[in-house]
Amino acid sequence: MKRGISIIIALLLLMLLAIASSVILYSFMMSFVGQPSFQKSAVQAQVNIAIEEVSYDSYHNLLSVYVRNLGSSAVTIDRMYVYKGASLLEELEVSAYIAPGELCEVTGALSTSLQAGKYSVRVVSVEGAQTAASFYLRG
Amino acid sequence: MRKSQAMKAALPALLALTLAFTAFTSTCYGEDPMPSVYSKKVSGFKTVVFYYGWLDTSNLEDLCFDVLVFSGATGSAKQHMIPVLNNLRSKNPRLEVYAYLHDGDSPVGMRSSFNDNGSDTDIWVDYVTRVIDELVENYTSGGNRLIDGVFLDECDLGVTDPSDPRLQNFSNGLNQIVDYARSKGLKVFINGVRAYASLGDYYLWESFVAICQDSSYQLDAQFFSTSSTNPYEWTNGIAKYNYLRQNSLLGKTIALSYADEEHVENAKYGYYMARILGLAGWAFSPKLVYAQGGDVIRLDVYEVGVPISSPILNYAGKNATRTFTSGEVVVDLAAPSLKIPFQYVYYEIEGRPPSQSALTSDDVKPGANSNIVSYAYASTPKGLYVYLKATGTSVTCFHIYINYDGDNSTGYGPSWLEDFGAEYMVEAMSDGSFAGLYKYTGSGVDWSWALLSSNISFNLTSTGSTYELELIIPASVQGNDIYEEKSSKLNIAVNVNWNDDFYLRHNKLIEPKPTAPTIYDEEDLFANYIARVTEMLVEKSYAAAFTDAPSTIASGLANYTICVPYPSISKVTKFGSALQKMDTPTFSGEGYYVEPHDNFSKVTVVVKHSSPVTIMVYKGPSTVGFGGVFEPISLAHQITMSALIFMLMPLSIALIRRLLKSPPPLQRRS
Repeated sequence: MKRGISIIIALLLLMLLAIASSVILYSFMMSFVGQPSFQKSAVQAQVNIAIEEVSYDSYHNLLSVYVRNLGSSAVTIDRMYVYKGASLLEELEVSAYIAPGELCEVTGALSTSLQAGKYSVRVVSVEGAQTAASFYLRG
Repeated sequence: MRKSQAMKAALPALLALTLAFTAFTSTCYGEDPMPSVYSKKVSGFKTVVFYYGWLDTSNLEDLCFDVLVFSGATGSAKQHMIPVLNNLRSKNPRLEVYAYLHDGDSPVGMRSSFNDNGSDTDIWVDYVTRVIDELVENYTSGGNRLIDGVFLDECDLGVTDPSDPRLQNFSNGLNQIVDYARSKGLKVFINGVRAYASLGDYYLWESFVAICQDSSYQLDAQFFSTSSTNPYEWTNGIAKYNYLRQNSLLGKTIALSYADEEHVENAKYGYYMARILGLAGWAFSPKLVYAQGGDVIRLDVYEVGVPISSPILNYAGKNATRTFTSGEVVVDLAAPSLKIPFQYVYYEIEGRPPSQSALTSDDVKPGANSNIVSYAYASTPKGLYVYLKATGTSVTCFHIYINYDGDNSTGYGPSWLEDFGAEYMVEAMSDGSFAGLYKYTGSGVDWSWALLSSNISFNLTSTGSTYELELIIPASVQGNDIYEEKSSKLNIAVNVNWNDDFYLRHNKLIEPKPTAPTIYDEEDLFANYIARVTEMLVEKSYAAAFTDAPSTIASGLANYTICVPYPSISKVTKFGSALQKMDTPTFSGEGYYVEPHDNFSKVTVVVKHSSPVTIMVYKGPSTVGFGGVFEPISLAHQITMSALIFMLMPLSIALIRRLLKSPPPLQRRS
């Protein structure tokens, strides 16, 4: 009789390999597609960002926007627009990579300091997502 | 065929266009970018001076420092302290002054006074608190207190058993003394064993790296090998570091290294080690801490910026490494050697000659009775520093002729000066009595000069027939520009019996190396002289460098080195506008170049500005993977997983084949 591994062992090994391969493939693929979102449709879930907080460091003249990625794929914020009323004050090139679900500080260096008043800020991602928020600066 | 012929014909034209464009861009930015330095404000690291002699014999008023520990004498020596303290306070309102406790003019150490008072806690505490009262009374002038705190020396009983009643009494009394000082509004600076480090606002780490043992100045060879764990036991080196780190006391620890003038290089190891270990400040002095008075020795050590990595301590190799925003600093006590990320020219009038000689000469005219041995110059915020070493007999004076406009047909130009036209001249007498700056008023060959300034900073020393002259030529005096870098020329002569003998001629001021502010320099002096990173923020996803440059930069460009703890850089902006990424570290115009390292990126940023500019360096994605850039999974990870999958595939196939080929169980049994 030929010696070799039994069918049961082979089956078990195959099952183990299948499970291991699935886990590896799953974690590998997740880096491409991000975390699953069951609340939104696939189109909505792809790119969706929201501003949670805006802060202005008047000493250093830095404007920071805390952006959360609500979508299912990563986004890269690359532009920040600062408005006073309807007029654009500054267009800042920034860079921030945000993984799905993560909150990230996006900071830009302003060339002119902001005075007291109402402002709005809009951030735009390379992938096409954008969001805006208003904020007041007190004198 | 025709197409390729046309392309061949177009090639030279394209090449010419490329060359023309390169030449154009080169012409646009013909000047090199101005180098930059990091301001001390960036890190807040404190420069500390210990001085136990009479303050009025020192040069303290010429130095810039953050903390002073002086002998708080309340006897007759007090009169030598108070005027200087008043001046220092008005010059630097943020200066912190600590007084070494004194009973009259005698120093009061904690251990000595405890023993002198019969080891009786109550009597001892009464005595020390009375000394503190006298100190406060004596150092309050016109309602203003001249001291911020007290320096408590000898906080070390020499008893190491915590259960020993004498040690307990000492500790108890010390706590009461500290509380009393605080109740008087005084801060406390502790010097003693580790166990008392947390008591004070500052703790002194004495004999730090550079030590004086058996009257011999040396580096601490045992630094990396100490292992004491009893905090009441005096120890040094890494055992002390570990205790202070574990108890979060590094931020209040000031190091004191010992080195004299001949061993100042040892002190540099102390400074950079203090930066690596993350201490609050650093000082160095000779072992007697200037008890006999005299000038404080300055040291050419510089600000390194904000740390962007943790210290790496190699006990076996006896070295320590840490990366700062200016670059990597390595202190190797085994070699010994220092690795610092910059090479600045150092000069100090009445001190050592500059670390680099930069004066170039086309030729020299040998003298009959003199010889110029060496010479150097450096650009400083105060003016052009010139160093000259010469030998000669019957030397009368030294002449430094300045051809301001580089035009040989104007100014003083007799034939013996061989095609040179001097608009200005500095004359320094060989007996050290005088140095003056003169403007030429003659017609070209006659000796006719008008004194512009007799206030030329200079130092002349002579030993036998050897002379060493240092002086600083101001850039402008009474509305006259005296020299211009790159266009003016120098001609240095040794004058023997009122005749210029040996001289160096036609020396053009070719890019004199700039000097950088040491930790003892007033930085405001450098504001109009060199580009500076004045503040630095290093955050998780970006670093912001707040920079300033003089309005007088010839090229308009300033060059900044900013190391950041990011493996890659996605973008660098100047006030929100992206700068161009360059492929080589040297380039024309604005832009940036990234040099990746194992755990940080060194970014060279060149920007055009003459007023403050904010440079933002943004962190890039961690790694590059298949099909794009991905944060959560590294390239190495991806490759490993793919390899694993491919390795498992043949095994899976073999197993499946085995299953398919296998006979039914019943058949196998038969």
